[in-house]
Amino acid sequence: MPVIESEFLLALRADDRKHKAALALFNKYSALEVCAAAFLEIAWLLRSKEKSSTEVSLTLSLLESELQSRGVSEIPVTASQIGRAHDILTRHAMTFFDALILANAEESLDRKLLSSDSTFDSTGTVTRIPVR
Amino acid sequence: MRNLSAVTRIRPRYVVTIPRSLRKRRNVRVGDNVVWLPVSDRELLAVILPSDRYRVLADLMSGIELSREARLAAEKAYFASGARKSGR
Repeated sequence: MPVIESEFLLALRADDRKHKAALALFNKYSALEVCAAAFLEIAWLLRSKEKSSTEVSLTLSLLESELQSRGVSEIPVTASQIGRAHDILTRHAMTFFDALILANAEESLDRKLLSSDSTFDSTGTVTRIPVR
Repeated sequence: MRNLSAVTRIRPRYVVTIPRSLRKRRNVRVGDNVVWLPVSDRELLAVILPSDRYRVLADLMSGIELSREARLAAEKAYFASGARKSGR
């Protein structure tokens, strides 16, 4: 089943330009997985914008609730993935969260990642399906 | 502000009614979302949000971007904030 990441989570915003595409993908795929690392990145981005801890908790709760209601399962972040992310970082030009999401997505069943970010192509370990 | 505190009993299947005084004062509507955030062992923060989750998410995540520039700026702001708090 394909994996979703931060871009997809942001596309759940009503005013996001990929909002309709994200909802269409919910209908297209009966089963999806989400990288837990994406929640971490969203929380980090929110805090960097000076959002309060309550706002971060609310956002994550709403995202989690929405995904659960759609039957999306979560791929947890593990110690080995964190190690793998650092290995990816030494070999490829990407941010830490990209590397962590990639390491996270490599644990999925069929290694298909729903993302428009071509950075994820650099390792060749996942097949990317653009969100559009 | 008038004291709006009230006590309600948890009924079977853990159903709780939001007291009328709070419903009226806060304009709570059927279909709104309630997000329960744990505060401590005996405290929960119940946040009432409008029924349109996608609109609420747009408000909560306004201004968030995923471009490389935005991520680098976020990293800088995030760690600068941490350094300020720790006095370093």
